Amino acid sequence: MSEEHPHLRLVHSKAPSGLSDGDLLAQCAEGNEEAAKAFVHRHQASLMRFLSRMLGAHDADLQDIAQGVLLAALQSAHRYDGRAQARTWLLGIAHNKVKMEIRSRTRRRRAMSLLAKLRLVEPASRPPEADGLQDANRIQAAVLTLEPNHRSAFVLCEVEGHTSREAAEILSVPEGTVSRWRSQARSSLRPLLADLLPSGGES
Amino acid sequence: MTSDRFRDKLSELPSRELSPAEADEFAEQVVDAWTISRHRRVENQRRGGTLAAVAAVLLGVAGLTWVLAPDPPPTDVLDPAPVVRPMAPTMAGNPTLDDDRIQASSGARYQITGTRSDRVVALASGTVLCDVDTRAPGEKFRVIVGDAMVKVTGTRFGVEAADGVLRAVWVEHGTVEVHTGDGALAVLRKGERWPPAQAPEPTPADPASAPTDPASAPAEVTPPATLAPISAEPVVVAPVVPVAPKARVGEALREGLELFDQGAFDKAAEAFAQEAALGTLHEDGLFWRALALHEAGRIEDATEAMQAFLDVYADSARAPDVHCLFGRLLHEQGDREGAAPHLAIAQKAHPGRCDLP
Repeated sequence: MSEEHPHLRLVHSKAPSGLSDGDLLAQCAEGNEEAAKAFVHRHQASLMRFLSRMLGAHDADLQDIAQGVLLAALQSAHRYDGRAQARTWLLGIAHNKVKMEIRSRTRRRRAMSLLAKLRLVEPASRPPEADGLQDANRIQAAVLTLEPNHRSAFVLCEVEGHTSREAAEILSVPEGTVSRWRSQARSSLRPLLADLLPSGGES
Repeated sequence: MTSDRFRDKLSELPSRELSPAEADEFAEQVVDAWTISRHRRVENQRRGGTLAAVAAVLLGVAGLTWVLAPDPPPTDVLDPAPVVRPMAPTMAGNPTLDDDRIQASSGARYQITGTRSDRVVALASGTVLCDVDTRAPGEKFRVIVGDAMVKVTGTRFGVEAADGVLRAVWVEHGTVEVHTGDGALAVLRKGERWPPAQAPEPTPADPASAPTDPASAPAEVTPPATLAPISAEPVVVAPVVPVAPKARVGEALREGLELFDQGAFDKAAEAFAQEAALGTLHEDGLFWRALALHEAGRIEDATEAMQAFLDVYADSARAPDVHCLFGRLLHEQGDREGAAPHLAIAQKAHPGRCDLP
């Protein structure tokens, strides 16, 4: 796709589809575009699923954020040391991006809320009332209210099926912290989803 | 156990899926962006190597000149020429940041943050010489001096500060507009300096931190440059409240937002000014300070703060809202003529969102 650059030795050889993630990333570090494409193809679906659950499937910026995560991964391919699985490493990058995105949105929401109070803008459209939603959508709406770290721990363990240990690796925190975040997430969700998540509900 | 119904529902959480064609396009876009970023990085590394070689030669020549000179130049003589002296690094070498080069005098206290799209040099004291690559629309290079900001899009200029106060600006190429707090505006062209001669001479710098090596001495303030009229493409020096900034980026902003939520608008405004002074979140700081002053009922201060925001961030996504607030404020004060252009800008940006009550 790109014109050869005199100071950049791009490698255009085909990346064998059977390569491991580690081998693909090693080839990405050498500038192999086919390896980069293969890596993106291999991980985009699981990344989109994780981001959908972290930010909501209808989030307008979902695709842009996913591309930002994969771009950051390709740019850091030379730092991948193979100690963690590539997917774990990628989800760690995604978690950090999502945290930054949520903080930035919080700031924007504050501004919009104030401006609405000052009658400068129409108040942001309210989310649909939970009563009328399907259960899954209710859960999704409730998950979106969680603090970013609690949300990541909940989505990774309860929704994506990772163990606490895997989630700890992705989030770069001790396993105990993940357990605490999961527990805090459930506590926060309980009042919102009382009929689905009974008070005794612990995994 | 988590209830079975809940567990079942978790597996049904909606997820965005791309079609095969969308996935191909998605991958193409990611790899294109990656390739472009690699091109840029490699090119910058190449240029950085060339610049380092040139800088080494210049330093060598300057050092030789200093050794062979019969007497060191007296420090009280004003230097009539634009400053081209190499200055000693204060960090791990003079940083080359993408296509920008920044040199600092020995003893200078400064911090560089941000990326090429929004590079910030927060200068507390000393002198920095900035060689700024031409910016694309939307990209910024800023030097924050506590109570002032210099914003450029591509030029070579120097800024001197002491105790968080802007002391001097000089230009080696390009054009710089200086906008001081008293409303005076002047344009500096190649070889010209600010402030003019009639301005009070700067007080001597702290001897303890003053550079002793002539080759590393910061620029002296020369006799007044002839100040040209205002031109397009300005470098704006916008006043903000001089305050001691918090140590960490974002700390004062968070504190300000909490105070704002509690209705402590005066204190919030102070916190936002602190954040603005720190530089990285300068736009956030100015924006929220204007809103806090408005909420505090400090109309005159709020008006000034909004104007300061619009001077620097006229192209910001927040500018229409500030124009709206500003227009309403002026309208309420009976200044309908002054309000009209602000309201027009706001209404054009967001039709129907800024109608007068």
